[in-house]
Amino acid sequence: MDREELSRLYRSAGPVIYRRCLRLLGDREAAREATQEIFLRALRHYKKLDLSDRECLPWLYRVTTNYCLNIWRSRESRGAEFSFDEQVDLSHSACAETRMIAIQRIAALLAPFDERTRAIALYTHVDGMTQEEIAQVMGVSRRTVGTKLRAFCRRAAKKAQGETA
Amino acid sequence: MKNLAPSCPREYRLDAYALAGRPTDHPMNAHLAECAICRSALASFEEATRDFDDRVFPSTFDAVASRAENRISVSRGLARRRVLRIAAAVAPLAAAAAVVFTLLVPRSGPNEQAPSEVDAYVGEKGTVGLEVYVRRENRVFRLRDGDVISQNDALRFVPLVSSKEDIYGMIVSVSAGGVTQAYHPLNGDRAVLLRGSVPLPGSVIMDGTTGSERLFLLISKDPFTLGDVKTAVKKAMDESGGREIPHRIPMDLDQASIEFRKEASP
Repeated sequence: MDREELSRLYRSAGPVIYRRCLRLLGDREAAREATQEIFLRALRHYKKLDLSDRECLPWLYRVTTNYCLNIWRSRESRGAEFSFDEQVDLSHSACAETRMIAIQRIAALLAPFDERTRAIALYTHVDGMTQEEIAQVMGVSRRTVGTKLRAFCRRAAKKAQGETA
Repeated sequence: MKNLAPSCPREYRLDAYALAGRPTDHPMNAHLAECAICRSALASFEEATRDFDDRVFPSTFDAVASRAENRISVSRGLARRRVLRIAAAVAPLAAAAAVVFTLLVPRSGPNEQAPSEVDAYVGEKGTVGLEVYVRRENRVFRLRDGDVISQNDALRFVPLVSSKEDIYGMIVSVSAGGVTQAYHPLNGDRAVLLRGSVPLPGSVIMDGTTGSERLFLLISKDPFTLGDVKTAVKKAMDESGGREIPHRIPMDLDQASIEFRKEASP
């Protein structure tokens, strides 16, 4: 792949990745860094990087969400302080801060779960996506989404009960 | 704060709509005409896209291209290694077959062989990265591609190397004028052993010269000298007509780099 082709791919897929990273990380610098990394990972499957293909957007969402969830997990394990970049006007900007708090809380609850459950919980509770939409983005059945979500909710409720007891 | 209504499309749908170029016959248009929150969400998508185009792309593309190139060479190296392994595995069988063939078929003349993929194998490259931290007065921040730094800023280096063995490494700076100097070992003339991904001792304080500069982490299993690097940099700069700092030094070394601009102190 020559530089020109790479530039074309980055210009087309980069904004999608970047927007999603901004929404999930809430920090322009972190989103910038993550965008590079995610694009390089996506490049390993560059034939999928065709945004005119309807499968491409769900796939990019999936790759980006997983990467951002790992960043959250690593922030958690480092005990890193959450910093909210106030200069960023996130999408649905009135809700941006609420979203970050929701992500932060969910990230803490998600730690013991497998990657798939973590993503499903995030799509549901942060993105507000329906089970059909999640199934489409993740390439799994709606039934799987429902099962994983119930398992997450049971465990999260148990944890919340333990905290309030 | 106004919340999204249940009928509001979620961001995933808005993303798909924006990607499709906001088709005029799209069913979402009716909702957007009514919903200020979703119009605002769409506007912020566009703002993020502009931010990518104006800030993220220009400051990251060179690094992405350089790493993509390195990955391609890594995967080629791995493919060659696989060929080598397969060749090694089938070699005894091939030798046995050759013996049988030689016994059964008389040779008709010299048999010239073209160099094979196995002959062309030159070694598998590892992954390398370079983190640079800047101390400016009481503040420390990580240097990003395209950042501007000034006189008296101090730089510290953290090489990121995947090799578990000791390897030779050197951090070299190349300026737009083609001046090549070693930052680690500082003013040294040959690569030194690096022991894992740990911060290198000491820091380098920027002088008053201004302009673009690219820092390279170069590593190799074998020793190399600054002289080798200078020769390769000169060759690369001559090839570009001295117009630009090379993104990669044309040597058979693993490398990572980061470019910044030095400006006079305010």
